[in-house]
Amino acid sequence: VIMNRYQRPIVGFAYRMVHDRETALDLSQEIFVKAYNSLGTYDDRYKFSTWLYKIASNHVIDHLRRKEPRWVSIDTRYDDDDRPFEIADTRPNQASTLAFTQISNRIDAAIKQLPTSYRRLITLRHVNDCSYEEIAKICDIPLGTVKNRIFRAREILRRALEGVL
Amino acid sequence: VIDHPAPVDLSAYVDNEHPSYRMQEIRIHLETCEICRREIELMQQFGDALPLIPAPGLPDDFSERVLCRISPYRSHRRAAIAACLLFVAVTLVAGAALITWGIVEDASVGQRAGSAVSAAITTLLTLVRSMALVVGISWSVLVMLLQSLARLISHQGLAAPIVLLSVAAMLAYLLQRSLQSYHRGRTA
Repeated sequence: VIMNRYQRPIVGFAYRMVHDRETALDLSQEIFVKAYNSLGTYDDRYKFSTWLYKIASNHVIDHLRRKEPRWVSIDTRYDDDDRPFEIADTRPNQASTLAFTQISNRIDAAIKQLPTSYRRLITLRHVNDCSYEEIAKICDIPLGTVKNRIFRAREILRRALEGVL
Repeated sequence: VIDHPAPVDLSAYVDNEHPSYRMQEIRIHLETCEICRREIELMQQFGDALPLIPAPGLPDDFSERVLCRISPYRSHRRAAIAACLLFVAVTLVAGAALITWGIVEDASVGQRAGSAVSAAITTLLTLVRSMALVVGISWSVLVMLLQSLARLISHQGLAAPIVLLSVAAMLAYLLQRSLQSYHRGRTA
């Protein structure tokens, strides 16, 4: 029952984080196995989805850190300051000809280039429909930080997607 | 001078993350402020578009794949622990009984008890075989070990083999626990 209910959100989250189907599927399987083995630690005072997303989030972040250690430093460095991010300009030459799939690819590409900590929050918010409070619990960060990071992530994405939306 | 809400507050407004009174204040402001309304629209457009981006389809056997990684692990672990505990218990009880009845002290009785011990070994053999299947030890290796133990029983009395059997059981249990930890580590 748990798997039927959460497999799509978990795979969706993993995919948005790693941008590779096979890796996302592998990670999702590992997340469910990990959750199963940790069921004893679940505290039913909290939402099950928050607990599961926390496992998923930590697992995916661990994977990204192993694969891309440079992202760790970005994550730490930009925690709470206002420095702008250097992200690639993915704007097309002729925006008027974009089809939906192209827009999707643009958004996908822009999200992919977000720093891990921002990508995680934006994904949890928009793909998994988590509230700020849930995100704060999942990521173990203060509520104010969630609010600021989501805003900054949106600013970055807006710049990257200028002319698309 | 128009007092616009901070952009970060507009972002939280889009997510409905303000207290109701603040939501109302911003809503009233938006009725008269084109700039903030545009900001909100852009944020909402992105929020609306993101979930529409297709995520990868799940393979039909996704659930089965996960369950395959869970169920056998769970049943193996329980079966292995049960088999090992039973193995140790049977060995210890048999040893205690032999000592209590004085069989170990009396060589001739010890020889006559050979057939009884063989029967016990057969029982243990079954248990060990189950355990071996669980932990993945080659059956032929176990047969060799047990044959050596049987030779010890026939030539050197009973006390040493009983001790050896107990030690072997404990080692098997420890080995099973190590394999279990290794499997868990790989899973994690």
